[in-house]
Amino acid sequence: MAEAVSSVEAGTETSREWRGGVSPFGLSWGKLMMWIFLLSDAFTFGGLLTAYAIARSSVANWPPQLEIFGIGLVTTMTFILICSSATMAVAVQAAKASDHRRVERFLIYTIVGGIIFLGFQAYEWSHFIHEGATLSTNPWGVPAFSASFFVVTGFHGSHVTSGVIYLGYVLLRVRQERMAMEAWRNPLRDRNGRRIDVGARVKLLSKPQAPESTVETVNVRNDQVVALVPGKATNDAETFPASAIKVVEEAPEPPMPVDHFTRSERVENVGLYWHFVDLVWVFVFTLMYLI
Amino acid sequence: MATATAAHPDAHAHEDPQSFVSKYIFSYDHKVIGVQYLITSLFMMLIGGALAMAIRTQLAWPNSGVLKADSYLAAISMHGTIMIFFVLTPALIGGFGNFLIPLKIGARDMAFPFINMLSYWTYVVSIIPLLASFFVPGGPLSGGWTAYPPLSALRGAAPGSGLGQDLWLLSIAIFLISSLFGSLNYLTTILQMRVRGMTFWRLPLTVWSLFIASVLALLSFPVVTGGALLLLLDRIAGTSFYVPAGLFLGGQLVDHKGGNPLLYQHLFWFMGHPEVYIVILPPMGMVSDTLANFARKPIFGYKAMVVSMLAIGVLSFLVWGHHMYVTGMHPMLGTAFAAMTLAIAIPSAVKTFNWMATLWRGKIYFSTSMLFSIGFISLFTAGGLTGIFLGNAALDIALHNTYFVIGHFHLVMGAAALFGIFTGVYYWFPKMFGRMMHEGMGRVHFWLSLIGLYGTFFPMYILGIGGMHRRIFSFEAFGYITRMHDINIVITISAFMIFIGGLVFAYNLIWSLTHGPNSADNPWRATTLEWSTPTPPPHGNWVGEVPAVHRGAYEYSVPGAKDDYIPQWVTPQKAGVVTEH
Amino acid sequence: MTTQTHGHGRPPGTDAGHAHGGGYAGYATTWFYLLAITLVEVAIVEAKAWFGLDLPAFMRIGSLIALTVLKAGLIMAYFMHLKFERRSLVLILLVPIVLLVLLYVMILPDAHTFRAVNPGMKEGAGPSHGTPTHAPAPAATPRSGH
Ligand code: HEM
Ligand SMILES: [Cu+2]
Repeated sequence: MAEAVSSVEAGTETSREWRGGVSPFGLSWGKLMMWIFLLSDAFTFGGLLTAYAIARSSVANWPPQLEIFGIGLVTTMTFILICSSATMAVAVQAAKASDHRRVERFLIYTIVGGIIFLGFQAYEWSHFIHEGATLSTNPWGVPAFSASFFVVTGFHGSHVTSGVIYLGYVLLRVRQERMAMEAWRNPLRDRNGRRIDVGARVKLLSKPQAPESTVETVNVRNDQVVALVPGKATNDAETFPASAIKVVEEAPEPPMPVDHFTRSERVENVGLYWHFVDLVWVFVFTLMYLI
Repeated sequence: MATATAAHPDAHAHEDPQSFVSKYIFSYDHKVIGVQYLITSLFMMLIGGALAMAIRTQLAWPNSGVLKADSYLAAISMHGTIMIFFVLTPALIGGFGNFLIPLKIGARDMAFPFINMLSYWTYVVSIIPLLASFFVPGGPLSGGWTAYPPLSALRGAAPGSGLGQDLWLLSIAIFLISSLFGSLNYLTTILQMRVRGMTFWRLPLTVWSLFIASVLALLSFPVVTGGALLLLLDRIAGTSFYVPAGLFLGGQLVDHKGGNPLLYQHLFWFMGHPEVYIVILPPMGMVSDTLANFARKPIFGYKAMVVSMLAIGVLSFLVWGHHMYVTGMHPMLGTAFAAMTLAIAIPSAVKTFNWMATLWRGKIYFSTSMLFSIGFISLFTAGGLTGIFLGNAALDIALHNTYFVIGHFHLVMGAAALFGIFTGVYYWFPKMFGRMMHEGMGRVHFWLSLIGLYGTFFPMYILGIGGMHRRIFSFEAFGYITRMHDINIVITISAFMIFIGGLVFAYNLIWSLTHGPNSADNPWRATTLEWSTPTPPPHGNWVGEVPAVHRGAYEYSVPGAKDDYIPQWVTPQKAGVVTEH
Repeated sequence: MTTQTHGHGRPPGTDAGHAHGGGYAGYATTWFYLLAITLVEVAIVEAKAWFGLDLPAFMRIGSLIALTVLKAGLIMAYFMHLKFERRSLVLILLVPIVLLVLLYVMILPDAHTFRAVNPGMKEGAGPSHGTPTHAPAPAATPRSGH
């Protein structure tokens, strides 16, 4: 995909003159910030994992964690998280291809994966707590064992949780924007095929005597047009279906509600975050459970 | 979208703010946020300074009753915390970083103005628990600004180990978040928003230094966030990450077992040493700019300056162990850290010599800002040289925890960074407020500070070699220290000179804000972009187009040019001479 | 001009992305490899139980770490698209990670010192305070190789 580098970017690389406005990395601001944030977050996890490793090396008899953790359960959790990372990648790809419905579907898969993972983790935790492990006690030996288990998986779990919330937010926004886009592409039309937009001058078919009125709001999905009814004393607005309206004068066509770029950008950023959560788990899985 | 650098995407941040609240309180404007940071941290400096005066009074006259044994330890701990985390860091990174980065790189604002505003207000929020801890039972933390366990991990270990320590942890945690917000913004802004022609090798050294300091903050703070989380759990959840087995507290065996107290120290100093460079790098950058300006000469060895700052940035992550030579750390590590520490002296020396070479045969104009810059070099050298003593593990074993260390880091970090702040304030005050500062008062401030600082911290070397250890409330119990009573009195009198100098500075600020003569757009005849804006700069910084950059930041006394300086925004045709950079 | 944030150089608003089956297939491959490596990791850990293979500790740990790094690399390169970003960005993101390794390496000797001198933790672990609901049977017989 090297050809993806546009001519503008290539220009900055060859000429020594910085032209401003183009990122030295070919990334948008938001994405660069996400990367920088993830780097910083990697150091938080690095600190915690180091602490865990040192706590473990500081004692001679670390409990045999393989016999304590159900390896099957943890492997399943790992599988689920990897799968949700894969669905996330598909969502990002779909966002780039402006395949909005697929974005939504795969975001939902990803969220479901995250929630299942959290469910497994809750199960694992409650199981341990039931066995007598807490932050300060450990039925299998040194207390640092269960303490570091809870801290590391807990910190990761909190990232999964915030990731699920973040994904949910993005899903909502993507959905909203898709609907706004669809409404813009397929506006309500009257019998003559003229657009019914906010601000259009219309005649109400049910009240042929009444003078023209103006469209206040349009709800494309429910086929509802709110228009002022001029004749009434209170100047009330009323709701009509599109079929009850005849456009006299179209309003100027509204601008495209969102530009494609913002939406794909938002999905890409949450994608980076989600993959990072998966990435951390890869390390937690090996360092905490396997080694 | 590529043109978005000029036309900001965050549209609403770019409308002119209307109400008083959106203009001065919850402002999105980087200049307002910078000034807010500066004012808040100067206020904190007053508190930290007052604590210092109390400490010094106690040390000179142990029977004066200013502080008691407990409150003495609380006072030094809070003094240290406030000065490092709540004065130097926010003033330099938050204050000057915010104000200068966009102006100097030709951006209309930070990349994320909203996050920028959040960053300031989380800083304010972090101050609240810190100050509140003065009023809780047991008082504020008293285990030193480093908050080593077990003193900080066991609730009953010291008077301040209770609620005071909790509040301290809370406050630091919020501060770290605020700093993360800041770093994200500064880095993205510097990388993405430079105006046309502003290549990396044309950046003023101030921007370079803020960039590197932000990277250090970005990478070092999260590690201590993790460390602090574990400390918090040791305190509230009974875990034993840091508390070893077999401790007795009040005659009772402590429940915790199996923790490793060295772990905390490692995690803390992994942040702690980069932190000292976070506060000294921006002054280094600012001083480079003012020195070149007031000597009317290009900075000597611009690229060497940048490279040495980068080297300092990298090395600062590899030397943390020099704070731990006497902790029982593995001897092999001592050797490794000593070698690294001595290596970091090389880039520091490169910078110092470059500054002196910049002054060499310059047409020096001794404005107050310039005086502080020269003072900075002097203090940095006087303090930094003893760092080489302390970097040697063999010497540090004798000197550790004595006043020698206090003298060292106060000169190299405390005093030098303060001088950096003062240099910056005197230099950029006209740009901030449109008025010049009073030079006469500035001089009084300078001489009081310089003499005061040397009088305070230089004799501490003697005290330290004489064996006076730090963190003692009264030396009367130690006969050999009592012999040095006179020195302690001299130090305290000098310390009061610094404080009085600070008051002169505060008065000067207020006077100049209201009575200072109006400033021209470019009063110092400087070359960098911020001086091409109207004074004070409007929202969005430039009226009309942002000027493109055609040259490096240090074109002073260019042979053949008609003026003795060519600003970065002047085109080669207009300047009349073609220059290399 | 619009392409800078675009990574794939497609002008905005075009819905021509359906031809991107190749992209999706690439993710499937990555996904498959990630799962496969995870299985290999588990197999290494369970080598003794499953295949009667008693791997020495250094081989077990070494291969586990190598596989983990490989997995991390796959995620970063393909899922996080680092393979398709500028080399400078990749370097800037990856080089600092070396610092974390150094952090660990430089603390490790202290952990060993501590282990040697810390009396409380040397002999048989036994439960800490509180009565465990479970007999600490596994702890009493630490497996070899740990
Ligand atoms: C450039 C700015 C520098 C700053 C801001 C700075 C700051 C500090 C601080 C805050 C301490 C803490 C002492 C304590 O609480 O015990 C310290 C100690 C130390 N510094 Fe620096 N330092 C700087 C430069 C250097 C240099 C250039 C060297 C060596 C070549 C050095 C070597 C040391 C050593 C070895 C210690 C440990 C002393 C001890 O704990 O006994 N420092 N420094
Ligand atoms: Cu240090």
